[in-house]
This record gives sequence, C-alpha cells and structure tokens, in this order.
Amino acid sequence: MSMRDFKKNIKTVIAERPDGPLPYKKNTVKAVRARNLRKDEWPDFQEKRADLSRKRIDDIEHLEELHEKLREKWAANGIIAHEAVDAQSARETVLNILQGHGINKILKSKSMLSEEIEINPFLEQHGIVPFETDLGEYIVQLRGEHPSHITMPAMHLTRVEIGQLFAEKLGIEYTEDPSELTQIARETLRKEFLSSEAGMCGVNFAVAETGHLATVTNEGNGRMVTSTPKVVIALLGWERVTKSLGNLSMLWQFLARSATGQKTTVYLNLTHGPAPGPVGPREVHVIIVDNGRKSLYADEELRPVLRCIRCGACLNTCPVYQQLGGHPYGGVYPGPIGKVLAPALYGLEEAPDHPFASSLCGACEAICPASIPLPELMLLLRKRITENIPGKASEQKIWSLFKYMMSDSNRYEQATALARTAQRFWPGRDFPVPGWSTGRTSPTLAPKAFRDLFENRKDGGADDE
Amino acid sequence: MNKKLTQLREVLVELDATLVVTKADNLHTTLEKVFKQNHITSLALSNDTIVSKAFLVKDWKGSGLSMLRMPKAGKGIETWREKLAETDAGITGAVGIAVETGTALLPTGDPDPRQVSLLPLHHIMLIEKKNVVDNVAALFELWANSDSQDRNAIFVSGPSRTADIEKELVLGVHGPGKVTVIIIE
Amino acid sequence: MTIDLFIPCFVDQVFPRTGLATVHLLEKAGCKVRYNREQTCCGQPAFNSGYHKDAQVLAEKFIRLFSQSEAVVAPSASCVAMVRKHYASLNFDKSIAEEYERLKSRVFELSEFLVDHLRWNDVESSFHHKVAYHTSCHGYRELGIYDQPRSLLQKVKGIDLVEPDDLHACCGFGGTFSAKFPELSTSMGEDKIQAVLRTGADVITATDDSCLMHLSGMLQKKRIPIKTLHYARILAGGEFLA
Repeated sequence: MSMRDFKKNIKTVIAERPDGPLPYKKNTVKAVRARNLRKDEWPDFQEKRADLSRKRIDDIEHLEELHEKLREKWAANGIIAHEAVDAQSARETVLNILQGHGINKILKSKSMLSEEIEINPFLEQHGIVPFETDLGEYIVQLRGEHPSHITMPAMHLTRVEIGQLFAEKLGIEYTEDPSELTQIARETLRKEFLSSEAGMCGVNFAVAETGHLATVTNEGNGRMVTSTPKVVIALLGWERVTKSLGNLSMLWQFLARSATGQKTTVYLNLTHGPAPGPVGPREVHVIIVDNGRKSLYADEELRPVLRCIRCGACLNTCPVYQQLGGHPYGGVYPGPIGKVLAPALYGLEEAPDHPFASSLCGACEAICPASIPLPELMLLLRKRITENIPGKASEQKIWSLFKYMMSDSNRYEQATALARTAQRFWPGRDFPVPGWSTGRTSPTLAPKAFRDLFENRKDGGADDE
Repeated sequence: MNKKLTQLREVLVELDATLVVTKADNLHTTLEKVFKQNHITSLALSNDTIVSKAFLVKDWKGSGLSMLRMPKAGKGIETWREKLAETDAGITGAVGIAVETGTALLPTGDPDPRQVSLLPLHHIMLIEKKNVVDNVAALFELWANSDSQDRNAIFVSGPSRTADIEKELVLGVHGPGKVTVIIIE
Repeated sequence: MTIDLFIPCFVDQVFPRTGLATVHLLEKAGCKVRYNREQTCCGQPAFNSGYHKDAQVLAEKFIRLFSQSEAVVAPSASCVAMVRKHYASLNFDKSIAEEYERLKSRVFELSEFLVDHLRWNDVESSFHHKVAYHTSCHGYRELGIYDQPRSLLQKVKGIDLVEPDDLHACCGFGGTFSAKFPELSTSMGEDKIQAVLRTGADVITATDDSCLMHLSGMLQKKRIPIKTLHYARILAGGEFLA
C-alpha cells in the first residue's frame, strides 16, 4: 500500500478487516498497559521524562559538534565511517563493502533505517542474500511484507497465520505454538549465524564521548550479527547521536519502558571497534544516513521530530493506529510519528493525507518519552499542505465562506436562520451531511438558538429563578 | 540475605533468571550443584579473573566436565563460534549488577565475553557481592570508575526473549534461554 | 464577579440548553453573567483544517470581543484549548498579540472556573441514572480537566458515576476529522460505545457537546437507548435535562 493512497487504504482496510478482535488493537493495548505499569513504578516519572527530553533537545542542538567528536573517536577506535546523503548512496556503500570482500550473504538485526533505505531488494538484485534475524522481521520477510510496527514488526499477524506461513515456507509440520515456532526460527537462523561472514545492525544511539555504537535487542540477534561475523555494517540515522554514556543509560531505559514495558531490554550491545581475538568482528563500518534528516534539522519548526528514539509507544496508544495496524500508512513509519515523518522526510505531496488522519487527541504526545509535540506538528503540516499542495487547496472556498459567515454575527444569524427553515421542511430532519452521515444521524438545530433564549430570559422569560 | 539481594532475587525471578548466593568458600560446591541441576557437562569459560580463579584446572580434575577456555588470541572466529555453540553453558564474570533492573555489565577483558555469554544455552555469571549496585545509573558509574570504557561491552538483563508472536513471551530466541547469577559473599 | 459567556457556535445552535445550564450554574455560584451576541466561532474548524489565515480572522474577532472581560467562561473544553493554547501559533500583529497575552489566562472551561477558581461545589440537583464519564481529549490533555467535572458530578443526588475501561481513549470525533475520515471516526466511536455498554450506563456525559454529538449520532443510528448529556445539564438538573 502506498503513502499517497493512505485515505483510500483506510477505507479498504476498514471495509475488509475481519470481525472480532483485531490483533493490532489487542497487541497495542497490551503494550500500553505494560508501559503504564512501569511508569507508575517511578514516582518521579514526569521529572525523569522532562530530563530525558532536555537531553534529547541538547543532543539535537549540538549534532554537528557531536558528529565531529564521533569522527575522532571512530578513527581512534578503528571504525570506518561512511556518509550517505540519500538511500541510494547508503545502499551502494553497503554493496561496495560486501562486494569488496566477495560476500554474498548478510545477517541483519532489526533496523528501521534499513527498511527506510530499502536495502533488501537492492541486495537481492545484486546477488546478495539478506537474512532478517529478529523473529518478527524474519516472519514479515518470509511473507514478503514490510514490518507493520516500529518495534513489533509482525504484530498484525495471528499465531495461526504465522503457523501456516512456517509450514508453507519452511516445509515443517503445522504448529501455532509460539514457543515451537520460535525454536524453529532459532534453529534455522543459528545455522546461518555460524556460517556468517557479514552482519548488519541498526544503531539506536552513537555515543559521542566514547564512540560506542549502541544496539538494543531482546532476542540476542543484535549481539549475534555484531560478534559472529568478520565484517559488521552499522546503519546510523544522522540524528541518533547522544553526548555521553550517562545519557545513554537513561535513553536505553526509556526506550525499553516505552516500547514494551520492560525495565531495560535484555541486551544493550555496545560496539567500540574491531576485536582481534577469537570473537568478531575484524572490521566495523558505520554508515551515517542523512536521507532528509539534515533538511529536517534546518527546518526549526519541524526539528523536534528528530528527538524521536523510535520506541513505537505513540503507535501503541494511537486510536487511529489501533484501528488500522501499520500497513495502510504505506512507507516505513506508521502511526503518529509516521504522520509527521512521512511528509517531512519524503515531501508533502508524497503523504498529503497523513497529518489530517488524526483526531488530534494528543495521546501520542502524552506518551512520548521525548515529549515531541506530535499534534502540533500535524497541525503545522496541515497548514503547509493546504498552502502548498494544489489539490489540497480545494477546500479553500469552503473555509473562505466559513470565515465570511463567522466573522460577522449578523451573517451568522441569517445563515443559521435559513438552515433552521430548511430543516423544518426536511423529512425526518436528518440532513445528509457529506462524510458525517456515514453511520451517524445528523445533529438537528434547536428550535431556538441560545442567543435568543438568553435574550428572552433577560426579559423575564425562560428561567426558573 | 540482605534487602538488596532479596530485591535482586525478586527482579531476576521476574526476568525468568535465577539468583544463587554463596560464600566464597562454598563456591566450588555451589557450582557443582548448579551444573548438576542443569545437566551441564560442557562449559565455556571467559578469560576474566573471577572465572579463572574459580576454575583452576587442579580443582576440577576428575569432575567429568569438559571445559573450553577462551584464548586471548589464536584461532579464528569460525572455529570458536562453532565450539561455543556446542557447549552447555558459558561462564563469565561481571563488572557489576543493578538491583532495580537485574542488569549485569559483562567484563570488558580480552577477549571480551560477548560470545561465551551468547552462544551456549545457559549463561552463568559470577559476581562479587560488593559489585551489586542499586540501578543502571550506578552500574554505568561503576563502569566509568573501572577505566575500561574503551572496549566493546554488553549489558545483560536475564535470558534472551521475544514476544513477536501475539505478544506471548518465549525465552531463548538467539541468546541463552537460561541465566544464572551467582553472587559471591 | 462578572462573567462573559462564550457559547461556541454549535452549542448555540444545537445544544442551547447546555448554554442555559451554564448560565444557571454561574448565577448560582454568585456571578453576574453577560452574553455578547456578536460572538460566533473561535475558529478551530478552520485552524485544524490547515487554514490558519481564515482562523486568524475569527481569532482576532474573539480577542477583540473579550479583551475587556474579567473572565470568559465556556462550556466546551476544546474551544477553550483552542483559545488558550493554539491561538499562540497564529501570526497576530503586535497589538493583538499583546491583547491575547493578557486575555488567555482569563478564559476558562466551566468546571475549572467553578472548582478551581470559585471553589464552588454547591450542587443541588438529583439524577437517578448510571452515568459514564467520557474524558474529552482536549480538556484532559491540553487543559488538565478531569477531577473538576467529576467532583461536581459526584455531588449530584442519586447519580452512579462510572468510567468506561478505555477512559482516556478518544471517541473518534476530532472535528473535521469526523467527516474527512468517517470510517475511522465511527470505528473509534464504535469502540467507545462498546466500552460504555460494558459499564451498563444509560447516560454518557462529557465536558464537550462535540464528542457527545458524534456519539449520540451513532447511538441513534444504531438504536441504542443511551442518552448523551453535557455535564452542565446534569449539574443544573430539572428543565435543563429535557
């Protein structure tokens, strides 16, 4: 499903989704509940959150300096740094490294950035097999799909669907037991790990004071891909940088608590550089991907979105995401963060409906560990879209008329009087209102408006006092 | 057991990990018990002091345990990863462990224990009681004071897990499905 | 104290009783209540649709109209949030911006004015129903309104005040969102209605008639006999319930 068709996708998905509990609703509600329990454990949660937001703002404000420091550290630590302005150059950098070593297989741990640069189809075209090793990613890769969630890639699927998938693709006997399915994936992927020559991971945070590349993982695949092969390629979003290990310790905890309601993830893997002994890697590459991030930084109004630590909590709590799952959004980033990131990164015309598909309820901002004002950013993008996208300006007439009517109380009173008369003659008084009348009766105007009742009241009219 | 250790036990239970507390004098017996309970016959040993001290060759002669000691240098990655994957348990020390979260920071020695603690099915950690700290922040401080921040490092909180299928918890995906923390008093 | 009422356009036209109940409560609390019929709309629908320039014209009208007020009180959290919070992102010239700065802290949602400002809680009405309280998002998240209306409702004789298990979840209204994305809006509304049905309540109340308009539209279409009533009408009781 494409980003441009978001509005159409919404209709399709809602029309076609099965009756009964939706897996994405069930799973997100569970995740929010777990997150809230953790939140209540910290009596000073809001102070800690405010502190984290300040740290994140400080990191973003000093990105250039932090990157300079990282460069020095990486050079000293033996990490080879590459810069990629866009997805294409990121893909080519990966390909060059692999081809330089004659490697035709790469094991990947979970990375949304790797989804963003669409590395898998590109590598396949060039005869290199990418293996997703996170269980959820492995499942969606087997299905030929994209992840439907930032941190829970296969959360749109039921155990039955996954059982059928494994039976069909791996030629095993059908089982829908999560524990058995996990064992099957473990065994299949273990063989690959033990013969791997290259690994790819995302970087949750690069730490400027030491040069560490921090990768969080629960399954251990993030550790596997960074310690079993000889060559490691780490993908770093340009903004995913933090000043110190002290910052990292809080970022890590907030990430885990917000994403899954764990106190920490099971593993925090800190890659400092190549290792000489019996443990890999021999060679560590980091690719710093811009792909629109620097222009986001230059845009002061949108800059706060760079604070995002990709915990996915805003997806979980979002009543729209809960209705849809991630796929209808198109693109890589669904949910509230996606509604801002998609038009901001790819251009307004690529995701013109994203910022509008929100009731602006504010649940996303309330749960965000970095306090990103997502509803405000959606409002800002709505403004930019109506001002810049020709197709979206079609409403202009309606709002001009609205302004004309509302800017003068006489006109407002005349218009409502007219509507009141029309209503009197409308059968059943249920005006069909475009959009509204889908599944709702229309509101009826009261026989007399408040303004008239209030006047009468002053004349000794309708009150009981 | 003091309050800190009681709390650590609760947290580790929540993480599906096991806490064993032992006197230094009893360490050998405790280890034997752990191995027996978990049907461990082969061990991979990391190269840090606390492990080396606990596994002096002379002390385990005739125990029937096969032991794989990680060398500082030598054979390639390929050989070691396969050997490690075949052992029942990997034993490492830890810089310290945080009570609030059950998180241990593995030592950053040479070679670092990233694979000993990853490829075998069971990860056993030996930690001195003085290195039990309150929370993650304190653990990061302990690390800062140890002068070993210029290395690869791993923080571990319990066994490997996933909830990718209908958010149902399953242990032991790619990393160890069992974690035993042994605190030495 | 003299209060200037702000009765949002749709309340004026569709829910005048909410306005009358607001007057009744403020007078009971000892206020002198004024209503200037030059008022219309705060501009939120245009603003939320991305048409800031059109919204700004209405915002400036609002600011000028109420610039001399001691306090402005409205029975709609969403409109109050628009004024207090979102007017700040409009591009006022200096003199309007200054007037806005002076005005914004004097604009209140009814329950926050009664409880936080007047410390009034002398509720005398009775209402023998099981009532589900729906937290309107803008009131709850942008103004921090939750305890105020609930504390007043709890003083109503005979009321059984309950909360749906998805208490803080949006009902799906969302202003123009409800007409732009009707399938989404009503799916969200459906979840809310199911949550209310689980409570066994026969009335839903909220700080905003807009949420209630959406829910009652769905309830009527589905022929579910649950009534929706702005909390001010329950607090005022009597004829305001009709």
